Amino acid sequence: MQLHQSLYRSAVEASVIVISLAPAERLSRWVTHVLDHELAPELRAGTRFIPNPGLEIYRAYGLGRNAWMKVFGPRILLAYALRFLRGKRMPRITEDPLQRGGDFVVDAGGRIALSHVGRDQADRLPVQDIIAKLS
Amino acid sequence: MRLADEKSTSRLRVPRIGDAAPLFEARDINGRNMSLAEHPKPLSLVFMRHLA
Repeated sequence: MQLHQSLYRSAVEASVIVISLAPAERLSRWVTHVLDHELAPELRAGTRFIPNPGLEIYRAYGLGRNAWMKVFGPRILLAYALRFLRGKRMPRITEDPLQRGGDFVVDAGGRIALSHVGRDQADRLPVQDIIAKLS
Repeated sequence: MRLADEKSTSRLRVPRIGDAAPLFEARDINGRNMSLAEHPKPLSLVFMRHLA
């Protein structure tokens, strides 16, 4: 969401492709019932949401499974505890909680301009870093 | 099977800056086909973890 909002504010012309390990129906419901409540649909108008429950695209980008301690270690448990204390809903997880995520930017020449796989579940790139590579 | 999966995924290679982006073709949630080779660039690829 932050990426979409930042792209809109920055007037950067770049598309976003979101790939999920959830099956199509679940991803579609998430977009409709979760994402669209938190992000104006026009801000994500050009975004493509790709279900990839077979993980072929994940594997093509080197995204395997994380170790248990990196998913449920002290740092992550603290993040969940803070989330709980702030009154936020705890996530109900139906997909593989160990599956890694990541961020990549592909430049106009089809080459990787940015590559990031988090050390653990809380490690994501600042949106500004992604915007900088897309500009 | 799970242990074999963990061993096999540890050999995966994350593409580095300057590498050609691995190409793929897929269908989005609206049923439209897309090909990374033909998709307008630059673009951001966001690989999600589990949905909340």
